[in-house]
Amino acid sequence: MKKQAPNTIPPLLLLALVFFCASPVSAQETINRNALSFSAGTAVPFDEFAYSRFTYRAGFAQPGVNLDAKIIHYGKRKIFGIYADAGYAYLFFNEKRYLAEYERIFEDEGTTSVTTGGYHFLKAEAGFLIRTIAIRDTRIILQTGVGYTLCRHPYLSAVNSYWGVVNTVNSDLDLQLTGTAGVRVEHTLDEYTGIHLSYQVFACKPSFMDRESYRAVTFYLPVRIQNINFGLTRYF
Amino acid sequence: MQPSKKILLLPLALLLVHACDRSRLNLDIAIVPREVMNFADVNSSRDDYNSAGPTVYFAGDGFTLVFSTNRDSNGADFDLVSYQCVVNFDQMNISFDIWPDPQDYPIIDNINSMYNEWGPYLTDELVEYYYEDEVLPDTGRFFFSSDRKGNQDIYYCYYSPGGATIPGNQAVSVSSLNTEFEEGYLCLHQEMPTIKEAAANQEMAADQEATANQEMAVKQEMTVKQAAASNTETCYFTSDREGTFDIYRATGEANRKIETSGALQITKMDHLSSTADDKCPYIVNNMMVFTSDREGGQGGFDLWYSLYTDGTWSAPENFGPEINSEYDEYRPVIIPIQPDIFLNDMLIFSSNRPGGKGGFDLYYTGLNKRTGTSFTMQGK
Repeated sequence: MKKQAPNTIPPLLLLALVFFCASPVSAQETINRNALSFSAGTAVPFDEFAYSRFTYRAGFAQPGVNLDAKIIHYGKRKIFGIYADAGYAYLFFNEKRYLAEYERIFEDEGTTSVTTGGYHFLKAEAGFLIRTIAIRDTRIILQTGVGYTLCRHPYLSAVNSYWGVVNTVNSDLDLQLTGTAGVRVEHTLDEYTGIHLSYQVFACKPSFMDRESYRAVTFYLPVRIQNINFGLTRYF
Repeated sequence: MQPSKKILLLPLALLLVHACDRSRLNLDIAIVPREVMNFADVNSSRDDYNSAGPTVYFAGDGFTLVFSTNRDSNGADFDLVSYQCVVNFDQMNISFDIWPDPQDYPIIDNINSMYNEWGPYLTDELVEYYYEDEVLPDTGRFFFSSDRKGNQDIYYCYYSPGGATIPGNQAVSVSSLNTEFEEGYLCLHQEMPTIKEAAANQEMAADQEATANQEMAVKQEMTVKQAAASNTETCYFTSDREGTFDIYRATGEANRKIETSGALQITKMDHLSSTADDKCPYIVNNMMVFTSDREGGQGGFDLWYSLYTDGTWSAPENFGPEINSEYDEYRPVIIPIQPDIFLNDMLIFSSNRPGGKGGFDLYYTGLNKRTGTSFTMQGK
């Protein structure tokens, strides 16, 4: 006869309970419930936004820089919190690959030159975060939020010595709904100060007007950026 | 649903709205590739040549292609067939393709016979105001050549949009052009205003607007109508009436169309003709393309062009090795595409060069639009 398994808590659930609900034992738990953090780092495009071929929705974006400021308020147990965030990112346009694509298309039809700029993003968002227990004054914070981003598309131009001006896209602005998700490793130095390393994925889909093209089309650009930042946190 | 849940679903709904999207374009307007492409979807293992398309700008989405082929008679005789060609151009991927679909074009069934039918030429403009001929509204003329009476002659008949026949309207010989020799490949020439004239017209229009003098505008309109009413129609065709095939011009009577003019003024175009065979003239705007096996080509029949400026045709120029080959290139036609949609026009021609499906095949390539009174040759 089969032996009845004892009615126990599943190991994963147990681990999760310990992870999130264990009593704070470290010194940093004396920190205040509010925090202000500043960070800076690199902004790396991915997915179609980083594609550099004339394929569907290719963005030709290259890694750039980003700055971020965040204000956080934790709940009583300092596990769940809410935050408001403002950030700026600049991503370079892959001019070399953009030119290479035109040269590929036109082959030996004259010479082509391109003029490009860079992508600008100014975002404001709010969201939720959850933090784990501290181990050696270091904890992991998971966060997700939504907000709006002012996106600026760069001016683009391609001129071929045989065909003339083959493409012009004027710079354009769009305010667009955005979503972010990220993880942050925060180390508390003392009662008031901490440092952190964060990884955040940012996504939005701004629409821009291409006024120079036939019938002036509106196009959508799926923006996907990974921000890898290092910064300071001030508790208050 | 609770209000809080509605708020949570709002961002999702907004994202879904944006799911239907367009991509950033990499060309402002489309380009027909310069590469010579085999028109494989319309070609057969038999001879496919003598095509014709629209002679006025088409909107870039599709056009009717008519050509001559001996595919249905196992090479015995040439008949006309028709395809509806949809132009597919992607300004993002920069790709170009033509999707041809055989179409029912009743006028062709009315024209085809047990003899050969070649050199179609379609007009779609018979809503004319300044000719005295009685024509039905919204009809076009379908010119072609046939050897149904022993030698090749030029014929015409009227047709309605979509290729429908007009009851009781049979193909008729353009008797004032035809002789006991071979005649064929008729095309019309409507002179386009030169850049200078166009500028003058624009200036006049601007002046009119500025002064807002309606009386003067009416007077000028009448002058234009009177000038137009005195117009004669001009066509070009091929004939071997002097031994070899040459290009001839025929001018109709005042206020009459070419096919109904009793006496035509026919002139051999010495400037365009040579001691070799010069055939298949085809004119769009102020550019004539034709085929010739004269000296100075790449071998066999080659494609040549000439530009009409200030009332005269320029000395013929060879299209060069980008288009011509050591084999025969035959019956070129220009497919004019609206300038704000395509950067260039399309040139369709036939060739028996290797690599095709057999016999003569149709090919297409990009052809620079004329700018002003000059034409930039590809690669030159």
